[in-house]
Amino acid sequence: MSLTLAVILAAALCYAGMAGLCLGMDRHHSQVWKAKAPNRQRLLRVAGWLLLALAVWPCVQIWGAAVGPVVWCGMLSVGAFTLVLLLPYRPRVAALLAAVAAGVGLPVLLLSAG
Amino acid sequence: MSKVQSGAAEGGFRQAMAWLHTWGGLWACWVLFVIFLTGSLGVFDEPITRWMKPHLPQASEATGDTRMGDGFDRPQAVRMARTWFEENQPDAHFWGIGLPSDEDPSIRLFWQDPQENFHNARIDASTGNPVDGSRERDSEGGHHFVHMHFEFHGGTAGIWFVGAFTMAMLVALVSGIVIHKRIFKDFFTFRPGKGQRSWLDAHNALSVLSLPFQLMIAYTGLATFYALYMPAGIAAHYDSEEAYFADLLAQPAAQEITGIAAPLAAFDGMLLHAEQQLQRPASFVSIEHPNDSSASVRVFGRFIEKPGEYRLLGDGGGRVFFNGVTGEQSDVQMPGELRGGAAQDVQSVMANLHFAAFGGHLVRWLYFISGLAGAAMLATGALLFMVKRRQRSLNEFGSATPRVYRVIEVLNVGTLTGLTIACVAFFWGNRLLPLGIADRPEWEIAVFFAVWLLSVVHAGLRPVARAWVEQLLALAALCLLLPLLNWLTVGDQLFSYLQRGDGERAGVELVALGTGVLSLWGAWRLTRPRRAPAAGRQRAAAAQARS
Repeated sequence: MSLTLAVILAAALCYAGMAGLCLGMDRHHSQVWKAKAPNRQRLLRVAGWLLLALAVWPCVQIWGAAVGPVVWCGMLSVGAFTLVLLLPYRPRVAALLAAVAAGVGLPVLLLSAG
Repeated sequence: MSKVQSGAAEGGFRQAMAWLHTWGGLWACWVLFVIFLTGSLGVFDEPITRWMKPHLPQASEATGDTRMGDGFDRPQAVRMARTWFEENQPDAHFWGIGLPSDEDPSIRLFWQDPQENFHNARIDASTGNPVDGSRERDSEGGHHFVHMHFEFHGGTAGIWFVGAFTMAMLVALVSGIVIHKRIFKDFFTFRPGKGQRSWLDAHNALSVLSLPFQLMIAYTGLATFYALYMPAGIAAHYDSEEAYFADLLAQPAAQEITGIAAPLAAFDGMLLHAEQQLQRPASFVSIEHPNDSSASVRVFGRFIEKPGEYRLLGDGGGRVFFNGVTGEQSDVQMPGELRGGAAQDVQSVMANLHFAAFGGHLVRWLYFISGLAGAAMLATGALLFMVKRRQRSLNEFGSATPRVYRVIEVLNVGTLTGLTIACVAFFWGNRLLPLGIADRPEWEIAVFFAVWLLSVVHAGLRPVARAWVEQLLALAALCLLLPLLNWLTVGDQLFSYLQRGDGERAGVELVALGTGVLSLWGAWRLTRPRRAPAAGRQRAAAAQARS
């Protein structure tokens, strides 16, 4: 895995993961969808945690077991900041971006790991 | 204790913490803002130094060459340095020789005169003659920001000063966590355009989302200077801090000056021996008590940041100690060798975590962003304090309240925008001060402080709403015109840097441009026409709060 790819993957997965956790909450779910959807919200939360956990992988690949988690922590903050700045202005774009980040990031992660 | 009692006690505790957070945070926030902003800039001290010193070569992709033959004759360099010292500074108590490398092809000389004052000079590595600095931009470079960050250019007193405020930072962080009732519910909440509510949201989001960094950076900052901040244990067992470190790291102890003259052994022999031992080029040679029988020599291996190999511990370049008179090796510490036991290792990891040099460019950018988030957290906190009170005075200081509020407003403007203007003015000073004047680096720093002082005075003379707009516009102008100034004075600018692939210097100007655009946007937000009162009380209040 190249450095650039790892940075993009970690950022994409952290952003998508944070978006999952966020949109799974009632308050933020209603910013994108009109009606409550408990099943979808639960799915979003689970997917969010999973994506955040997966984001550790590219970090550890490049930076090793000691520095990797530090980079991951920084990436978590950056992902969350991006989301929090985007969400109130363009909630649908924020959700769409998360879907794209997860949809492209996951296959790329699997390919690079395999 | 009954349930009712514990509930009441909790409310009381939270209220007490809210008081502590408000007032403990307020008195510390301006100094902490300086520490955070200059610390964030200090992450990029080397790119900033290169931008300020156009004569230095562009940073090479693979930093830290491990090859011995990198085109510089280091044995000749130490001979030249010695000749220069013997002729010019034979009575100095300390000589230091910075060896030529890709980063700076000249030989840098440092010495401490018998009055214990430090000096430096540079000589040409090919001729041995002093470098004619009159055509170069002599500058403190990015180190200025690093020194502001940890000591406010105030030496040991400055380190204590910063340490006291760092403690205040930890108190504010912990009390902030206690009083934030809905950390997880409000985790992603930011509602812009709602006045006080928005400032609180921004303050909360900035703090919570970067909390791991803020706690880490404050704590490791204190841990870095543990020997200074907690001296009692060392003082009880050792005569001096040096004796403690020599014992801890199993290094030869410092010797007292004997006053007995003794010639030094040949430097080039020691250098070659050390480089062979360390298996890497040397970067620095230091000589304690030259030409005294107590003379000792240390040769330091080059610090090598290998791309693709990142670690938090044991990344030093190694060092070899010599008896200065006999030239015999007295100790060798190999690159990556750990000494001092587990506690010392933990401390080293903390210091390395603080210095952000362990993970390449990305980690530096993450620290830069997180550090700016910290600065923004302090800024929003300071603004929130006044936004809350501008609607309705809380009369904390009786009849003096308006005057106290005015001082806080002035300090807010003079620090938040004023210091930022001073930081950019430092770059302008570097380009505008005439070359070849004595103490040019000090003049640059004088420009920094003078502009900061002027900003505070300006904030004190103008109505607060005008002061914000004017300073934001001044900041925008200084930032956006920086590439133009560079082009007029040095002949380089953003595009020429990008063409040459000089990402570091281009990055400096890109960050300046970004800051300029942001402050222009801020000024526009503050001056755009207010919404009509019919739009509702809340909106009017929000607009007023923003002014």
